[in-house]
Amino acid sequence: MPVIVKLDDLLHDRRMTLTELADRVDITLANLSILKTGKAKAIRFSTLAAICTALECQPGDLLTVDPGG
Amino acid sequence: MTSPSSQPVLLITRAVILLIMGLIAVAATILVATAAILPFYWTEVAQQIAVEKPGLDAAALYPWLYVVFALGLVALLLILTIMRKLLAIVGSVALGDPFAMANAVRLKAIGWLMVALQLIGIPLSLAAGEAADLFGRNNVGFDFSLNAVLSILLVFVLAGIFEQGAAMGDELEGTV
Repeated sequence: MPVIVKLDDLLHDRRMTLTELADRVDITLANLSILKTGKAKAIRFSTLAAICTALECQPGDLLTVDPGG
Repeated sequence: MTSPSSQPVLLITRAVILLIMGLIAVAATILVATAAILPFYWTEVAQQIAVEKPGLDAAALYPWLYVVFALGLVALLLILTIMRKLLAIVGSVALGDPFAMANAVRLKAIGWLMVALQLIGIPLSLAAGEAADLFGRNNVGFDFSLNAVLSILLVFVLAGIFEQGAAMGDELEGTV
């Protein structure tokens, strides 16, 4: 997948666990885990908005495109 | 999820499929038993034919009967396989997960089995026609069915829809 999800880095920077994020954004831990491990095939705008609001970041901070991917 | 209103329909469909499978099993058993027993009683049968139809050549009828038995048995096995696959599809609908790749594969297989059934119908009806000719009846023969062709096309289209549905389901499963 050429799109890289940097959720792990963002969580690390904010000293937040995946479980805490799951509680804040009302998304299941299983789904967040799929996103974090790069196994997700697509992300809804609502999910993206919720995560960005909780982590106080922009979509570009969460997702990047690997040019060589 | 399967809506509660569709459950009785599924139950009836399942019952009808099982009934057809049972009838096919009975017909196949009778066919095999007749084919196995006939050589031992052929002299008596030939004598009976000679009495009832004096002009009929019983020796000419014998091989055609076995061609009909063999092709009939193959046709019954094809229908049985179609019914088994249909039962599996109905089962997956009842479980609430019909748009699976397995069902697309099953539908495609049903389509090809229906093609095979139509193809085997040609020699079967010709052989039955030959046997019927000996009895002086000439209304048995191959009959092209537009309904059958349309049904086969419909099954293949349905298989394509299920394939798309399964792919969309997979996509949705990977969406967070």
